Amino acid sequence: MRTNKLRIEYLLLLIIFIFCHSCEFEPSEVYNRPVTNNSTPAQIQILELNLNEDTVYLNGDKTIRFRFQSSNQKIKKVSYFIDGIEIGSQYSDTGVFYIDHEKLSTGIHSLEIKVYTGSGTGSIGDLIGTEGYLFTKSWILIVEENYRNSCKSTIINGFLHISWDAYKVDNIKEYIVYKYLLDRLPIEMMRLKSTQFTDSSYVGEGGGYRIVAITTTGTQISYSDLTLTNQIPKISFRATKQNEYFINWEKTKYYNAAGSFELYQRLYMSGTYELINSTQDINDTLFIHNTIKFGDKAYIKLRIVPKKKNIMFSDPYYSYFENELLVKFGYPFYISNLDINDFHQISATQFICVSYSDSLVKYSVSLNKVIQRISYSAVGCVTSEFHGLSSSPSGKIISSYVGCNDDVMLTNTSNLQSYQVKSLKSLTGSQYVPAIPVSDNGICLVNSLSSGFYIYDFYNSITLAQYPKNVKAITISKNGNYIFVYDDSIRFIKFANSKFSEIRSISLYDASKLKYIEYNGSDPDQLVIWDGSTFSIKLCTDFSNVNEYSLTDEYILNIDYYNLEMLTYNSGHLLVRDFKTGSIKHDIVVGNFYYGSYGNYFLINHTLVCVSGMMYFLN
Amino acid sequence: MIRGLTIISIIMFLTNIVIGQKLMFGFQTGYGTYKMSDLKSINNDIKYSNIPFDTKLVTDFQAYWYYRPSLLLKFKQNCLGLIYTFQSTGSRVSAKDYSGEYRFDMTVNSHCLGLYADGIFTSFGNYSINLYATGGILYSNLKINEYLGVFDTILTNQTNEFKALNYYIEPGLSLNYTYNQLLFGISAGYFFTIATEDYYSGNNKQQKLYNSYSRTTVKPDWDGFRVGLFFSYFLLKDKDKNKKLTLL
Repeated sequence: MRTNKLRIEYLLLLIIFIFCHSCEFEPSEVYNRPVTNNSTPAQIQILELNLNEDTVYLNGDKTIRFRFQSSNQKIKKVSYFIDGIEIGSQYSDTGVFYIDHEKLSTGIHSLEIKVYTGSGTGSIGDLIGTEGYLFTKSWILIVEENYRNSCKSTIINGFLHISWDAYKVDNIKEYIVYKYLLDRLPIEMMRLKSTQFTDSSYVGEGGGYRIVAITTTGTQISYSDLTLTNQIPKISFRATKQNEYFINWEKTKYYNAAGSFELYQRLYMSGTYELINSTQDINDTLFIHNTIKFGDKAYIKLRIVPKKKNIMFSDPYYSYFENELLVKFGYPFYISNLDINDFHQISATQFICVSYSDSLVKYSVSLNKVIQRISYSAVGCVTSEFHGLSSSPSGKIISSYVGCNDDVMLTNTSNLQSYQVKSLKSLTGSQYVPAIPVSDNGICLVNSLSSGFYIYDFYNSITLAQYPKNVKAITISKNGNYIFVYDDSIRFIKFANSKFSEIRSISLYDASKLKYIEYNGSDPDQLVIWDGSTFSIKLCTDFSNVNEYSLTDEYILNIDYYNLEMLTYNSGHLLVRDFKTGSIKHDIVVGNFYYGSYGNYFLINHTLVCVSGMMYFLN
Repeated sequence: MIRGLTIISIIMFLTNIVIGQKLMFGFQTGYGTYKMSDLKSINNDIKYSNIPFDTKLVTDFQAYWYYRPSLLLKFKQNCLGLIYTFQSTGSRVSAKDYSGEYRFDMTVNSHCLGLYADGIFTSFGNYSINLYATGGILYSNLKINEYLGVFDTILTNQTNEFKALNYYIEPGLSLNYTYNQLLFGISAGYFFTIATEDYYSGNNKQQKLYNSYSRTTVKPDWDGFRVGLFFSYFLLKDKDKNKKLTLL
């Protein structure tokens, strides 16, 4: 009995639960919108449509402009179809369609424009565009041959001759020729009935021509385009070993249209051009530049002035009639695009320099070519890098910091690959990277930040001595036995048997007058010293004079000990002097001179070298 | 449905292990008003949408029936037990003409399972006036359907469902009349939603329902008056206590 009662309770609960859920709320009301039942079909009026004939001839790209008006229903959409395929549509009663001539095959096609309007009832279907009226208009579309690229150019008798295919329809009245440049809009040049003409003013300035055909009804048809590349003659520079400079240019193809050839020059870092030559002779393609100075850099540009009026030849469009070249005046040599630096003479005809900071280059002036080039990849460094170069007095050994760790490389200049690399940070200190003067036998002067300097045998990794005073070492002689040091004065010191002995001391006042001091690169027992007025060649042993003469130039740029010549600079002149007597052997006027740690010119093997990549032969 | 039956079975089981004074089964139904502030704002914002024809909000979460079965233990002055509530309402934005129909329907229901307690405020004869309170978990389900049909073509018929788990509390007053094993009455209360969770879709609570115009999340809001009639039937009396264990 109890079990039965419980079952009834369960059943009752189940019924209630189902009852609850069966009575869930469901929205049922509906809003019946009012609509207009008496709408009449749309009447479409064409306000603008530039398709006047039933047959449309397409001889180029065509833009169709339309504007329709509906009687009472709004125009929802206008579409155009070619051969039954919808090409474009606009959701407006006004707009533009573009027919791309190149996308259609030559022949007969159908063109159809459909105007969609609403029904005007205001129903949901009307308002979302699924109920309405359709207005259709059709044309026969005849796609004609593509004349766009029919325009051709040739050069006849030194003039530009242009021709194009004749339009294969009778109603062409004339053609308009427009001329343009890359950044200048077309300007009408002429009107003609012929399909060819000669532009006697064209001298190769490039740009192009646009041909527009005019029909008898006045319709303009964009017909054909011709684009021309710039053909202004290129100019080139040539120098001889006799230090003559020639500017050449190519012969122009439009020789009968060219009136004159003008050469302009703008010095590097200068702002203005000056006319340096003008000729009307079409066969004259050479200018000998004898007013420029060795070492100068200048922009040289050639301008062709048309013989007849050229509507494009005006400021600021002269550049289309010009060709320009940056010229470095001197006999060219190439190590890199940048100026070379850290020049060191290593033999009678060879020097070493650093190129782009990442390679060490040995160059032969007599052969005019790079003999050897090395780079160095330090472990853990991304780039190769040479800096802080020093050379022994003869140039036999070069010391340099390499890589990002500032290790020191010593290399024999007879073969740059025969190098050794070591870290000298235990002597210099970790953050100090002084130049490492070196002798021909690999004895280095290693300055430390605060404890004097060390005499260090690089190849044997032996510290030979430490100078007891806190001074800086400046330079070491060819055999490693004489040293210049600097503290409260400049001292000339002999180093022998691990002992230092002072030979001469120069007070700082006197030292301040010194403008040049170095060891004789060819004689290990001599040094040269110049105080701005007297040049002395001295013996290292007792500082006595071997030779002495007056020298009052502004700078000594370098001394070629192998060829016994010296290069100085004074008032815009490079002076090549005899090393032993100081007499002037050559006087060369230069305009582009600067002096830092080194000048931008040096002398080697009777040749002046400009760091920008030019040479001047003295013999 | 199966989940509902399971819940009821658990309730029945619990009642059988409780040694109650008077166990009674009750059922209440009545009318509830539903605030639904967040959902109403969605309906209001439809007018800013790009629907090209006019629409009208024909139903806006109107008052509707709620259903409330319960299992209670009757003490001398009080009553204590479990109570389940099912309530639902909805809205419709509508437009219809000869060419087609547009509907934007939101129907929402909730299952509430809570504890119920009351006490006699005053009594006279078989009549008593009681104060009651119920509170518990509130599990809401929201279904949104957008439909657009033009002539014979259905352009849109998309349904999205959301849910949320929150809490509620409802205090109120009831007038009771006891006759033999039956109890009749009328009650009035106010349902408060303690909304801590937003509507979300599927099982991903991050996939929340947003009002696309205000870019705010949407919470259930069942706040409103509950007025209803109820009756209860005493299943077990004191004398049945000794037979309690035989129920199962």
